[in-house]
Amino acid sequence: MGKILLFLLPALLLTTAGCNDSTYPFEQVTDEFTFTYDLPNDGVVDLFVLNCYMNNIRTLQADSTQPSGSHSSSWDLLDESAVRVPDGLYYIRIILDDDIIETKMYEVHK
Amino acid sequence: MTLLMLLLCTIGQPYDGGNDSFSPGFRIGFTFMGSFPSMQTEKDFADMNTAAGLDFELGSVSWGGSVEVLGDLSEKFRIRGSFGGTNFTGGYSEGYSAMQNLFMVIFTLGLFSGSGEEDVIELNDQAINLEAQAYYVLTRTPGLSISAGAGPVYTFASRKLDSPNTATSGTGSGLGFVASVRLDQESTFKLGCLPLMFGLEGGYRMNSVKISDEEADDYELDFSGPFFKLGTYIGL
Repeated sequence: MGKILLFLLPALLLTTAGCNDSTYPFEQVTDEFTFTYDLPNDGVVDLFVLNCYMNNIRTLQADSTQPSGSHSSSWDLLDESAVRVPDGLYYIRIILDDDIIETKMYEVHK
Repeated sequence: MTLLMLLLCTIGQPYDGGNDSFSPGFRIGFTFMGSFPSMQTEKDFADMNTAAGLDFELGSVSWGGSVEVLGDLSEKFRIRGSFGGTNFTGGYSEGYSAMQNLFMVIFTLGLFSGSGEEDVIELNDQAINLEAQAYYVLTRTPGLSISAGAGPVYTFASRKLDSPNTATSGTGSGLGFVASVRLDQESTFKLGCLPLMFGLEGGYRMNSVKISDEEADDYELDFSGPFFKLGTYIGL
């Protein structure tokens, strides 16, 4: 019995805690970060940060006219009141000419 | 209605007649409940996650149960009070990675492989309902009754969202309304000396709750929708 546990325990530990090379479809961030986005055509761009209740907690860019191509922006994990947001899931919406063209997801934690 | 009758016939024997006269009384019972809540905000939230690249799965049925007290006040009027809860879930899960599978197989000498799913994001919405309902008995035959009623429902709701490194939760409460039709059948079975009754209820509940936390900014959990309940009651 003891020998079986000796084998099982490391396996369970590795499975549940360690060796986690998961490629979650979202980034885990702890500090200010930069993200990129592609615009298929020239237009007016808005970048909003939404919390897990789908409320807009920060406007990163509003009514910004940008050419097509690759662009980057950053978020310092602050809300509109310049207070660091609580840990949780956040979403950045990239809007081009009033159409959502991309949604990016981030897990913010300390 | 025919289906309801058939279902009741499978779980309870018809009342044997006995004393046909009505006698007021109270019963206590336990029910199993299923409902189909609107949850539009959670559907929008799931859509947002899907747009972000996650295969976010959201349930469509909310399961739960309740403890109820049913009282026959007269031959035509009946009341019911209940305390119950329902659960609505969703989430995103992933299969274990190849590396995790490999370690699992090696360390368990091939006995196990990590072919299961790992919950990455879990959404759990819960509603605790306090209901009070008055019914008018439409039909009463020996051992069988059909009644329709309505009443208020007060809902305490919570929303919990877990990710690998974070947990977000919010709560709220609100008043709603419930209307339903119920079918009750006396059984020849007895629990000791206590009479046993089976009940089937279907209706519509309107109970939308706003999450009151500042971060939620009145995010609405709409538990409104049709429901069904199946219960067993014993006489007091």
